[in-house]
Amino acid sequence: MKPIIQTKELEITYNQGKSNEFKALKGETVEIYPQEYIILFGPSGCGKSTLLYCILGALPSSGGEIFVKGENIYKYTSDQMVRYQQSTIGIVYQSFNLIPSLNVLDNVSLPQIFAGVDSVEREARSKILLKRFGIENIAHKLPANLSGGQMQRVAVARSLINDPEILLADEPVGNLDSISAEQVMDTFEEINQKDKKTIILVTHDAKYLPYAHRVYYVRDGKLEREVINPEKAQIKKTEAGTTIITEVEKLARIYPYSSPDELRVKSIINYLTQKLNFEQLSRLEGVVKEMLEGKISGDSFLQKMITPFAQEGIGLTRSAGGMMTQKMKKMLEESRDVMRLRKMREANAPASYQRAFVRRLRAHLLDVYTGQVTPLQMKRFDEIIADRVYGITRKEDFQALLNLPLAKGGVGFGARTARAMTLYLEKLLAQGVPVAHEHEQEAL
Amino acid sequence: MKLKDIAKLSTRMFKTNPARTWLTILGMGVGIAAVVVLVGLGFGLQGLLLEKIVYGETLLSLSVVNPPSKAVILDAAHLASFAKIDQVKDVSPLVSFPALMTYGGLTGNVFLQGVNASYFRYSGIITEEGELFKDGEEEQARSSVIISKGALKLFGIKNPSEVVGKSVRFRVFVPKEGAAETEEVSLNKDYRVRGVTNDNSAIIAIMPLVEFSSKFHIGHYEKAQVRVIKSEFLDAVQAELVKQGFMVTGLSKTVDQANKIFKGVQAVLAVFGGIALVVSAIGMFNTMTVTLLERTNEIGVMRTIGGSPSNIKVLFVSEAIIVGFLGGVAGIAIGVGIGLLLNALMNTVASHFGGAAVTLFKFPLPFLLFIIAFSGIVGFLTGVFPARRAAALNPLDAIRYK
Repeated sequence: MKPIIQTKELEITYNQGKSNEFKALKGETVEIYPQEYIILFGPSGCGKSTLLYCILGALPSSGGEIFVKGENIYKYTSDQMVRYQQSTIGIVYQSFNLIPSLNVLDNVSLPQIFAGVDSVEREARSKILLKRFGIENIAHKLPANLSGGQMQRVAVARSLINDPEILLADEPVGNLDSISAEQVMDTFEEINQKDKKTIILVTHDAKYLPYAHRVYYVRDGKLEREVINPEKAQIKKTEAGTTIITEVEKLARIYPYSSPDELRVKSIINYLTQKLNFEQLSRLEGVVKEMLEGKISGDSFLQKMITPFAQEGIGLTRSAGGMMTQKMKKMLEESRDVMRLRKMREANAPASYQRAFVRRLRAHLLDVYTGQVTPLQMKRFDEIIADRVYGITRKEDFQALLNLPLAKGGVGFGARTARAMTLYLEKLLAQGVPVAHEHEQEAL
Repeated sequence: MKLKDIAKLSTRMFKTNPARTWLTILGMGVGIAAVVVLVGLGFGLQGLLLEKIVYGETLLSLSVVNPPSKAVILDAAHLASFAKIDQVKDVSPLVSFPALMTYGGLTGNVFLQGVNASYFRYSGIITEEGELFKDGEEEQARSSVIISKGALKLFGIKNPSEVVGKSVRFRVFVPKEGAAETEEVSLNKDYRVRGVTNDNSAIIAIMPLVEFSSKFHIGHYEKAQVRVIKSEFLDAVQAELVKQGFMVTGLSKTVDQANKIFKGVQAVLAVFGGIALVVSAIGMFNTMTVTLLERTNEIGVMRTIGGSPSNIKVLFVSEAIIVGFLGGVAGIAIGVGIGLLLNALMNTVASHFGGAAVTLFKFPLPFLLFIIAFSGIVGFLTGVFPARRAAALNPLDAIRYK
């Protein structure tokens, strides 16, 4: 199979020869096959959009060539280029770029107006597209009266009106809320699957990477690497043995901004420190999140922990899963005491009420302690717990005071005990205290 | 792109920016109106002078008079020779004797003239009251005369209708052949006044030539109108007559010269109007340039979804032509409105003070059509440069332009 788009050593230099000369693309060679869904991924300013606009034919090259359907588009005359942009390529922008003075129907049919298509024919075609994307009811509205999601669907309809083979999308959901974004991304998926269009999508958001057959990672004007989506049947033929999908590819989707070396480091650290692998960890994250949000009960949490990995569970043994569930439930419950204590202090509740919760927290911490505690120790312990929960002291002070001998004003625990108790209290604090930006959101 | 779509896309500014669009049109309109009013005034002045001249046969006639030296004299033989010239259709002479005219007990010096009915047509004489002699009816009109308005003044008559149908008598001073002396002959006959000409300066009374010649022997004529077949022959015939020693003037020459002068007057007036027009055209150019900047992003988008540079150019230019054209229409409405209003005002004032009605402003249709076409061209010129710039924009730079 021949690639539909092929760039050879493509170079783009902005402001060539001036003092602000900038190399946006440094010799890219890319091959994209018909009906592929390709994502160009990278941070802003990395050159991914530049590559997209090269394929659109809107950027003159400073070196190299682009072949689309076997033709060098840089050799096109002005007329040929217009025809290429009319019939071969459709484009969708981040900022929709609808014409504000034309209604939806005219916006969608605008490419056909330029192509000189009869009004009856083009309106019929536009209406079919509007209906397909569920926006036929807004056909006579002006863009200013539409939501972002509607505008982007209009733009997608416009890009398809001339039935092009290649659809380019430059951050198409960058300006949309998450629900509209998902709808639009699903639309692209459908256009790729059903209409068999080649899609090249530019994004800096890693959560859309699973949509693509292949992802080109772009950084500083260079294609850093090409990552194949293991979950999709590939269109680009790969000979057995030449391409192997490793853990690094999978990790790349979890940590899209890390370089391959960093991913290898992560892989080793995971091996050395954790019993669970990355896929188990990412599933576990999902379950814990649901638990924290209160979407599932402790029982179904346990159920997911012990469901075999092959059945979308985490695949722990009954005992290990049971222990984790118990620990988690205990911690979540106890963290509520931190919350209550802080609320009482904020509400200036009587000191005796506050003391009751401090005592409860002290009891939680002492659960893991097997030794005896004197009344003086308990009194000191209560004081430093209160100080830490109210935020008067830091974690390090707390640990040091636990470890400090009684004679010097501390609680007099051993170093290991002090460290374990500090760690546990910190976990409770992490769950029980809203973090700074959450405060702000509540204030809003 | 289809014409219908071009029209649709290039009239969007009425929806998106109605206030600015109409103000631009009004600006053009005021400039055009200035041109229309001033040139209309030029046409009006020209008309005032020339409308008194009866066109048609008058312009095809040459006026032949005796030279001051009297080397040749218009007589029957000469008239016959004039009539023989190929390009000459007809010759109509005028004979004139000094006379005393008596009307209502008053007597005054006039010139009594004799002509055939065709003479009036050839020389462009028209009546203000009553009627002239008619072709072939001179015999029946033998006992009637036509007098000039100038002659009425002599008798202190203001209203020409007073005298029509009244009787006048003449005593004629008949020149003696070959001598400077005259012989006074009284025509013992009452002549009924048939009409009054609009000639204010000459003091004359005109009777049919048959009546004149029946009363007197006509040795020579005062003047003759030579009617040529076509206007192209005017020069040739004139040269022929001049060669014979006569003095010849053609009204068409005079009219030509007057027209030339008025073309000059109109040009001067048009220059003043043109200054206003240039100011408004610059305003419109400015608006088109601002529009270009405003639409930069839109142009970029259009270019990347299949709009060619020439599509963009066409849209801009046609928008400018539409604004220019509507400016022309508005200008004509304003200019003609002002002209007609002033005409009406002047006529009211004139009739109030007893003067004659005049048309000071005139707007010939071809001139108005020219103005509309011209305003479209001005629109085109103000649009073409922004349009070229728009078409030449790099689409990506244009899209990023905010």
